[in-house]
Amino acid sequence: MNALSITLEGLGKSFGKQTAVEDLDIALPAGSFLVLLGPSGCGKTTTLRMIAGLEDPTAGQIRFGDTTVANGDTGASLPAEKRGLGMVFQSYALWPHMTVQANVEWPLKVDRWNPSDRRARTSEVLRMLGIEQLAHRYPAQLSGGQQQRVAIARTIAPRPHVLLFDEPLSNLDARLRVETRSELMEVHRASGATSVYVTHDQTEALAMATHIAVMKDGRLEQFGTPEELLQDPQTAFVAEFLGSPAAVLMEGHVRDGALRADDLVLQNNPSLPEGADVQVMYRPERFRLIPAGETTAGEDSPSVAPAPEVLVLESTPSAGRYVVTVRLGEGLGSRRLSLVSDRRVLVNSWVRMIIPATPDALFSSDGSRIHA
Amino acid sequence: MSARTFTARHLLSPTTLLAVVVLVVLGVLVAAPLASLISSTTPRAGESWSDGAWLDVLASPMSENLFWTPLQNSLLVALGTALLSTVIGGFLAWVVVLSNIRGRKVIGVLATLPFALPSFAIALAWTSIFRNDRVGGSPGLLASLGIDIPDFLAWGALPVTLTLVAHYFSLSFVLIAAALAGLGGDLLAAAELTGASKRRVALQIALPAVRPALLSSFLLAFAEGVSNFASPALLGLPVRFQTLSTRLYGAISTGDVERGYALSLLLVSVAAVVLFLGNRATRGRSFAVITGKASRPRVIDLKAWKLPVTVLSWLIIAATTIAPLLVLTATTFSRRANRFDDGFTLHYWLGESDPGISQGMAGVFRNSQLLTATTTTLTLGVSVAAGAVLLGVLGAYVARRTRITPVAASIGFLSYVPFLIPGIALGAAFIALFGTGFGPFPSLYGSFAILVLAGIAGSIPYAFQTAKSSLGQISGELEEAAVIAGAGTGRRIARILLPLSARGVVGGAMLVFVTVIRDLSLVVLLVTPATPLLAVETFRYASEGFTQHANAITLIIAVVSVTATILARRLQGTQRPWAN
Repeated sequence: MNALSITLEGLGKSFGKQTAVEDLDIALPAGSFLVLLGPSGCGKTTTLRMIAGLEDPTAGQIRFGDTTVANGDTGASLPAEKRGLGMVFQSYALWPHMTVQANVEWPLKVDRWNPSDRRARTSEVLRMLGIEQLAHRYPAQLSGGQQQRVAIARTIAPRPHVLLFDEPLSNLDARLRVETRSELMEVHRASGATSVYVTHDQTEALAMATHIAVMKDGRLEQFGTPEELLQDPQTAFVAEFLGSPAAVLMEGHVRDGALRADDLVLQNNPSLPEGADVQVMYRPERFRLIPAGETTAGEDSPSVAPAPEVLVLESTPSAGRYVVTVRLGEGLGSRRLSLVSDRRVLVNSWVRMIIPATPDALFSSDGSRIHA
Repeated sequence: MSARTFTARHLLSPTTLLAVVVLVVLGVLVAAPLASLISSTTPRAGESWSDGAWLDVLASPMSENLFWTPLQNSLLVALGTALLSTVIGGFLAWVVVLSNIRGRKVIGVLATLPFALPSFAIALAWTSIFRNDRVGGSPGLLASLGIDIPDFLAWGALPVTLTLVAHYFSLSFVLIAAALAGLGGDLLAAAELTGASKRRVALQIALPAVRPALLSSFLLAFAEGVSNFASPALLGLPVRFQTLSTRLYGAISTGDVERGYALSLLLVSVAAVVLFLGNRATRGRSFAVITGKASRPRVIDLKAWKLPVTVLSWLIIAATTIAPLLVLTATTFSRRANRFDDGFTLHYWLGESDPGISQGMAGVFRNSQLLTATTTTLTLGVSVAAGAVLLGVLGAYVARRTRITPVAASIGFLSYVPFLIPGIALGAAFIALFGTGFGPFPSLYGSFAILVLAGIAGSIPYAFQTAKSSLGQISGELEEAAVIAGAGTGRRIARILLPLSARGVVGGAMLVFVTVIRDLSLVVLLVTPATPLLAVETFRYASEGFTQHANAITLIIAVVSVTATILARRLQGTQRPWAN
């Protein structure tokens, strides 16, 4: 399978005065699976539609391999149907007046496949997605999950070089979503096509992607592998958006030579200027919870380790450990934090939370990473 | 609670009592008139079918003239109306929803206007332009300019069909535009991504996907074409081009009631079969609603076709909306009917009675009979709107609350039946029932009450549907919360349901008002000089050659209708998904 690399260079799109996407740079190797991730309105769907050719960029370039398919600066654009791609829509976009078989076969007919190849390929993809028994039904007679499979079958049947997915799982229930997710990855492996997948669900992104591009307000926050994004987030937004639970961020400021959060000393002698306001990041699994009465002695807690008492609000078992939500402080200034604990703690009890001695990352108040 | 007390409570509950009242009223308004139409054409004791009206109508030397030719004409007109309305409405829907021509939003608004006009407005405008001297009277604009108008253009099937199309294409437009917009852009984008040409996408994807809307538009326009009275009466009757509706009007108004009733029943069967088939064919087959969120329709760049498509769209709009209104307006100011070379005058609007003009008829604003007609028309409109909506709301409420399924089903059925009955046949049924008095009812013929009752009967399908959908938008839990709070039925309706559904219901009432004041076919058989109505006066003036007066009244009705329609749509927040 001759997959293509996809390159976005300075890509931008504005609708009138409104900017939807700005200055996007992504270099995606051939055959990889890119997830465009971000909250709604961040420009991820617009980006996908530009790659598809359903929207024309107003700035920058899109290249498939060495071919420029859209150039926002000159206005040149290869029509969508000439880009050799397939797309799965959020609404599935199945043609309601055609049977499943006809839906899958029609693109091949348009592509002038000969009848016997066409029929062979159609039954091949229907079998691949386990829906061959539905071949003669109409879309309205199918459940959401079945419609989704038909949409996927129709998209991969003509063997596109590039596969695009616009939030394809958002209309499915939770269990079906996980199931279809792994099937989609199989489809990706089998086809070898370079894939771009839009979602706002970070679990989905971490499970499927070889590469993730996190977007916010039309701009790229960070592009990298899932591990890079988790281990080395470049912005506070990425740190808070990814992971279950996500990294813990605390507002801190430097006063009297110590990094403090309110009256809590987080770190003495930080390499930060006096008076700086920062966001302090800790990975959730590095916290420890001990009963309120116990001392803070332990291997991970130097003498000054801050260990405030916190109220346990929730404790959810997860893969042999517990995701614990606690409340720090009282009244209006109180904050909720979600951490990972090895031991079970009682909801509504007070415990002592041992904060790691060194933060995992620091961000300036505008969200950008401060490298020590 | 024992079974007996449960049943007793059930039977005496306010909902059940209300259900009984609603069913009785619907029975009197819908079932009884139809039954009486049937019974007055069936042979009484001692008679046989062979002396009855049915034989005359269906198999006698007269039946060719009485039934078969009018049937043929009706079907011909209906077929033409259905085909052209669907093609033109579909074309404009495609232009407004999917093309990128300039001014498509304006076209979208104007294309919905003709349906708010009285259907005789366009027929009158047509006579003002194309009338020739075949039946005497003042010829139209073109003839007075010395242009010879052939009969087929002035009278009969062609003008009747075209004026109906100018009215009903609007309905097709709304149906098809909604379906196209509901498809969502993804559906078409998915087809374009395969590399199929625009033509292929249009013919193999877009068109088949809105097939249900095309079919229902075709059948609705067909049924309207079969049953319309005004157009064939104005453009056909003078040259004895008869359709079923003009034929049954002729029979009943000349005292030949039994044959008239038989014809009414035949007309009802034709219309009902078509509409019933339409309902069945499209039920549950709305392709638009599948899953997922709809996406913005993708606009097609017409490129070189832009200009021709724009011109054609505006020509259609001009011919169906702008031109008729202009012609109607201009002619009311012309001194001599349909001529602009003899000078202009305000006489037909404001003038005092002058024996030299129009046999001494004063201008429409000075004419006491017209002022009476205006008052009667508005009173009728308000009474019918109030009555129909009240009945609709109560019916919809009962149908929603009752746990006795047959009751809900009967209310639904009886409220739907008048939709299948052409207005003029419903009018005939009311004469059959109330013309002579029955049971506790005195003869109502010639009274204002019969107009109100018939109006309510004719409007109940719409009023019921509106009330049902307005109430349907209110979650049942809101009412259950009130039940738990201890509120009784009346209080729940008054304090919870009505305030929440008020916009939809008031909007529905205004649309009922509009259909009543511009309606001709339902009332034309029921009106007497004691109860003059504007639409009927227009029809009378037009038939007697008082062109300016007829056109002036039509304009007044048109202005009121259009204003009320726009207000009502605004109140209901009518979705025009294609307008975004």
